[in-house]
Amino acid sequence: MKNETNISSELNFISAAVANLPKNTPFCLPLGYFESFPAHIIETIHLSNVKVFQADNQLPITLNREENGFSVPGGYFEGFSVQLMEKIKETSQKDEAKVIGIFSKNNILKYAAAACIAGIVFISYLGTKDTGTSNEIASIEKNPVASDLSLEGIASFLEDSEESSQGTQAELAPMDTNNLLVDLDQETISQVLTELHENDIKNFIDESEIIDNTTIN
Amino acid sequence: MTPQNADDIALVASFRQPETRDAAFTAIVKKYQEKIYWQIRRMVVGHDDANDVMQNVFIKAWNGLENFRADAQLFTWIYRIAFNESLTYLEQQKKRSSISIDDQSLNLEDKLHSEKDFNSNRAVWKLQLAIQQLPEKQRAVFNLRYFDEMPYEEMSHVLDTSVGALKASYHHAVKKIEDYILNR
Repeated sequence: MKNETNISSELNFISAAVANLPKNTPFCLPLGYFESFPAHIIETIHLSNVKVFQADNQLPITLNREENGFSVPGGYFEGFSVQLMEKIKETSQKDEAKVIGIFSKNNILKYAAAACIAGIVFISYLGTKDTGTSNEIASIEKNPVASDLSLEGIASFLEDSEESSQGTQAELAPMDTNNLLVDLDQETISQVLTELHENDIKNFIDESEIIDNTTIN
Repeated sequence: MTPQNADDIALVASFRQPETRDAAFTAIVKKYQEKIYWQIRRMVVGHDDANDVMQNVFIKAWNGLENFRADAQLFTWIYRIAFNESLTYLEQQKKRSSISIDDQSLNLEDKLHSEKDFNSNRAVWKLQLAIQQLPEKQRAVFNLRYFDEMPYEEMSHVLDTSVGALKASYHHAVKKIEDYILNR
């Protein structure tokens, strides 16, 4: 009674509107439901083959096994525990974590492949790092005059020009610069010019243009 | 020890004897079936649904009674099974129809509308409509406190929640119901 008073006063305190509502439940249910339910549930329990344990906690027994309408293969329950244990063992073995060796065949192949890739990347990196030569080649390739030349030709030309320039420098080094000032009179110059062929002059100009372009770039 | 408790202990002891098992269980069912039924019915609304849950509850009680500890209250224990079974049933229905929680409250509202003698103008039905708007656990707290007048201490064993949390939950539930009753 005290509990009920507490509950209603608590409800009144929270909300008088809710406290004043009727407390009955308006649902209806089939006639005689509660009278028949206990017998019905006992019947259901027995028919559904519910396992019950004996009072002294011995092996479980099943009720009305023959009455439930289903049949099981002969000796199923006798062999079930053995089958179950085998299944458990099987699954527990499967669940164990696999031990994978570092030097297994698969790993060696993987590492070899990785090393090859790393080597290729490193070599290509070194190739791009030698910017001097590659820039020169690139500039030559861009040049419309030199675009017809092969890369080998360009490379040999560069080597030759390098050698020849070194040779010329070596030759010129000990020379007195005053020797370069040759005293030429007007007659000598005009004589030289008449001796020179027009095609030779054109070739000379073309060659000097190519050399100028490569040195500028 | 209360007389009810003493009676329950005797019934459990009787259940453990094979020759008196059925009679003892029948007595337990007769003793608690109505309270358990209404608790389930208020949660799942429909009678057929409630009947299904009731059967599951008592089958579980039959299976678990052998290991039932005498220090626990039999009624609280069965109540707890009923609460869990109701939640499981609602969860299964939710999955089956793949509807959200809000839609589910609408579903329960529809079930209320299909009840015989339903009249939304009558206060009792309006209260039921308001209860169906509550979240499941809050609904259970409200029902146990409002209809069954269960003390918070006992409720904490049934719902496995602290007394403080239950008080707060009940307070929120009443406020929500008040809002529904006054504003709809």
